[in-house]
Amino acid sequence: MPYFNFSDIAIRGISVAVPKQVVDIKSYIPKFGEENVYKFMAFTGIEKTHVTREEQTASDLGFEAADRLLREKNIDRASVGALIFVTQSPDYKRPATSFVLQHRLGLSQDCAVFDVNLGCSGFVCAFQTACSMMSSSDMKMALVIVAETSSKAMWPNDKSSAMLFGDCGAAVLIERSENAPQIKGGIWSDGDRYRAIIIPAGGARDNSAPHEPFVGRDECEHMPYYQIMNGADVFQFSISDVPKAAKAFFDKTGAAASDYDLFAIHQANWYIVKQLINKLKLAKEKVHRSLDRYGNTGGMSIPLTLCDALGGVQDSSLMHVFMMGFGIGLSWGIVDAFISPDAVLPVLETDAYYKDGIIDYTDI
Amino acid sequence: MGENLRKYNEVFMNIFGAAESELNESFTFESVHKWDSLAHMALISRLEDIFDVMFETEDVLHYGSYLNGIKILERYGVDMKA
Repeated sequence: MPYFNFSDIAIRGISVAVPKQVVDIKSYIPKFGEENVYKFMAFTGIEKTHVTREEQTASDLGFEAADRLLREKNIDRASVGALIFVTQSPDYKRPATSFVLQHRLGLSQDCAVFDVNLGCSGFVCAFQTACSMMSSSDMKMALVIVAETSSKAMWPNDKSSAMLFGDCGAAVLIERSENAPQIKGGIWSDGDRYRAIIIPAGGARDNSAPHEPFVGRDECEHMPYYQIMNGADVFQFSISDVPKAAKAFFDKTGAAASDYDLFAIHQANWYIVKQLINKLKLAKEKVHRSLDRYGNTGGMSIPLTLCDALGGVQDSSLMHVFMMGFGIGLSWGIVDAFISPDAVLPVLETDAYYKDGIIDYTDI
Repeated sequence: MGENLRKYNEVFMNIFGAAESELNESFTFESVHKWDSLAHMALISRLEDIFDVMFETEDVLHYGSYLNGIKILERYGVDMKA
């Protein structure tokens, strides 16, 4: 395990934005049948999701979260030395969407900007990347934006995935802060299981697959240009590799589950979260649940859970928070940090999108 | 029939819409059309709630039949004759 330990860095603020459009999972009854929908709800704990309209992209959600964060925290945008944008739903095939966000947010040219292609582990991995950059540079602040429109990557007739995911954008600002409590983290990866969650067609490897649905081994309808998940493999990974990593992390840091005030665990589905609670012997009341109202929002589910739990709470004390993300790659990671509820903004709902982003090709 | 077996059968009847007379050695993942991945996870989740157990990963993945499920629950200390 690459183990990280950062000093003199603090979380200045966290903000998330979700689309205004709410989908009630029961609205899928005509498509998938009452029996399937209620089974899904019982197992996953998901009752509602927020999904984008056609014109709204992941970067729009990320922008709204970040722009509000910078405004409300009165941040001098010239002091942001890095912007890392995590998404698998970029605005364009090229350039990286982080450059569009740099432009929209008014960040200076003295800013390192790049995209990271990760899903559910994206927040914890990019957060540690940003902290690493801060530790080895003179930058004052770094901004991590994580955003996804997963609902658009799911084949609407795939009953295993269509109801599962919600859309969201999140922004986390870190800053140099003398004597801040240490931030610790770890990252794990397994390329041997790259096929476990995949969109097999539409990239450079296979751009000529038929646009025809097929029934997979899981008896669900899929399309090669939409996400296909091997549920059994991902399930096994989530309740085996992930708790094993957490135990290794506790061994390395000498921490115990009882040391933490709050657990923000990736909201894959509630059954998996319950398994993790049990295997890691976590206090249930410290594990916040957001997926009932937002679904599985991928890498954003950790900041979303924090904003749902702490947003608007007027409290400047520091909470010891354990964050754990896991998913596509396969990739998983942990961040152990201290967060002041004052730094966390309430969840924002928005339908805003970037009209100037729709480009007149003849005018380039 | 013991109380636990009655509760066990009820879960299967509710999840799969099966009649109690169908619940025998032939009621397996392979032979029951409605036993798909969604039904499987709903079944596991419901059984854990009702019998207050938490299955190990291998048991979740290989809970492939009505009869095997009884053996698995007994391993977790559920007395299916009670």
